[in-house]
Amino acid sequence: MLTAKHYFISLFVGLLLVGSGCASQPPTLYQQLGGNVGISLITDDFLVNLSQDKRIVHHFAQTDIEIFRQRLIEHLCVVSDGGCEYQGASMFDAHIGLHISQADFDAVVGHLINALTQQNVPIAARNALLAKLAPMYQDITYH
Amino acid sequence: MFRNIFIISLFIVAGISLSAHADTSKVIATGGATTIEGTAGGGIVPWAVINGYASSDQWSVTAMNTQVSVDDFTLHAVGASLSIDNRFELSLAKQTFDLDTMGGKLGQDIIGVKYKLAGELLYSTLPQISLGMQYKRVDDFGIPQAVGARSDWGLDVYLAASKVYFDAIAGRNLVTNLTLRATKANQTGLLGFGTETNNDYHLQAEASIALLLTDNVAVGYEYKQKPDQLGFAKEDDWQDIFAAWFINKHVSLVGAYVDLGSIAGFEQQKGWYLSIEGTL
Repeated sequence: MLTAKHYFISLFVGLLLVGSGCASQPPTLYQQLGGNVGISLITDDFLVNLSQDKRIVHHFAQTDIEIFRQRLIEHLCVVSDGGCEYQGASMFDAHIGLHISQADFDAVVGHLINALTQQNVPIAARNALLAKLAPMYQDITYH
Repeated sequence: MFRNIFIISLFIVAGISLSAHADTSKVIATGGATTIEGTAGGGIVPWAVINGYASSDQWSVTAMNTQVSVDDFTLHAVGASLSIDNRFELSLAKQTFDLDTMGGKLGQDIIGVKYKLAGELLYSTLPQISLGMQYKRVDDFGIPQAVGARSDWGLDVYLAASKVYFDAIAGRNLVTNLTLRATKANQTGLLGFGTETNNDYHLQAEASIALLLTDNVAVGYEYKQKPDQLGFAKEDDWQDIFAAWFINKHVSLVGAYVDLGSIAGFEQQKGWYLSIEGTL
């Protein structure tokens, strides 16, 4: 978990980055999610939601949460065209042997929607992100 | 006989739902509403979705109560369904159709099954595709027989395709459905099946489109093609515009303005549709 100090540093850096952007460009999905700060907050809410769900939390028993958190942030940054580099395994490789079921996947989607809502991400940005993540079902489930 | 089976079945479904509460996972609104025929869908068009919120290795039950009031008729439908694994759906519905102006009433019972063949509503490029069957039997064959129907029971078979397009219109998600149905039913079965001179199946197209304004409020339109085979009066296609509010994963409401066209010689039957559904 991040400390308040981390958040403020991130927020400051984020504001600098936003301030240096060109104002006339339509915001990218990455910007609509709140940039690195927003995605970090979304990820933290998402992880809290996952950790409180007895149906699926057992899948994370062997997971290093800090690394998982970093990969999630990178991944959300990449799929929202934030120009990051994703250092983790492919969605397919990352889920081999985990036997993620449709029920697991549905529950995780619900928690992500809730995290995005908790962070007041506008519905259009929320749906745009879901559009990019939903097709990953094939690579994540049942193997 | 059928009525007793129906009532016993309702009690069994109610008993199951009371004795154990399924912990279900599907995203809100993805079970759709329940049609007047008892299956998951819009108001009059069955969708490929499986009713309720049961995902893999889960089960779910629903119950619905619907009233449709048009100029000269009132339809009342009650129903229940059991869904397993987001794969299979068993449904029961009982319809009564009051002939408010003429006097008297019609009615039918419907047992439905639906099986998901392929695709996932939210997650696959391919639409979700389901095969469904509805066994329908009229309560009293007197009026249907008098107006020329051949049989007091019929079997509808349909293939439905449903898909959600994320971020489709103004950032909102769009639900689309196309259903092809083979049927012999007159006025969906309320006026029996087939005619004295014709016992062929008719292939009919039905479609729904709905925009999710928020996660749990949708507005949409439905069109249902129907055969027109009884000589005594013209039968029209049905259509409606609807708003659905999925209050939470246990209660939803649907309101609609319906146009049922000509029924038994009464023209331009239009009016209101209201449905409440409970889901466990």
